[in-house]
Amino acid sequence: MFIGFIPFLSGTVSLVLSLLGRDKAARAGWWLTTLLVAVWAVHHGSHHIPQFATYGSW
Amino acid sequence: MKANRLIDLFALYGVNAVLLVAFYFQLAHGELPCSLCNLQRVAFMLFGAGLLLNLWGKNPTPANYALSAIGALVGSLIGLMQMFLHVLPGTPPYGGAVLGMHMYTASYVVLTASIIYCVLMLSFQSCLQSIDVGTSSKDPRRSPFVRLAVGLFAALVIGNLVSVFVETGFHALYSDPHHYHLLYRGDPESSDATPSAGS
Repeated sequence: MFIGFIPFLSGTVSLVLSLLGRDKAARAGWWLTTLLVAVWAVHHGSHHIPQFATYGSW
Repeated sequence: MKANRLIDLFALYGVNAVLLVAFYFQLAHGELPCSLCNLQRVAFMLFGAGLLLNLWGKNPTPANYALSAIGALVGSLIGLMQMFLHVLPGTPPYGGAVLGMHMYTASYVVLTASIIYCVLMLSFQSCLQSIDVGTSSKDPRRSPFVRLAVGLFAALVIGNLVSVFVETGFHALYSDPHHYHLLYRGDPESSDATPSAGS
């Protein structure tokens, strides 16, 4: 599900829309890319929770 | 050209420089980007996206700075998380260093500065818009310097898509890659030079 290139693909599509002057669609695409990066970061970061748990109190 | 557009143009060149340095370390030094490194690259693209929309779009709006700032915030938090992973004494760092800082630390610093940049640009937007720099043209988007910055940014975004596809194929991003998935028959996370059997 968390295929690595998906945020990059979303960014590239948004870039093409930006260059074509479709500002509204491009802006929506870039916001979608932001959301994808955040979700992907949570997914990959969650693998390190046991390591963070050793750091003492948060 | 309005002063705010000129400053955005310089900032976009800065984003291009960062993405070029990342490619330099990847291609010249063979340092493959990990999952969090790749996501920080997209965060730089998101910061650049707001600048691109300001420079290339028909109707630049303050919302473009919000896009840049949120993208930079997400990236700086990813950089901070990676710093926490490597900050303990005895924990090996990942990748090379720029100006004495490993790339995730440098990325955290630059992306945090980018958030401050967006806040300042939003604060002084009306003031900067009233300043004309250089000769005024009908369409500032046609300026060769704008075209070069936008063209370079586009090439780097597409280059990163190709890079990450060659690195991971249809898999999730690797935490500690040593080989490109599409160019290697073994486990890309294995540091062994010989491909593992059965993969």
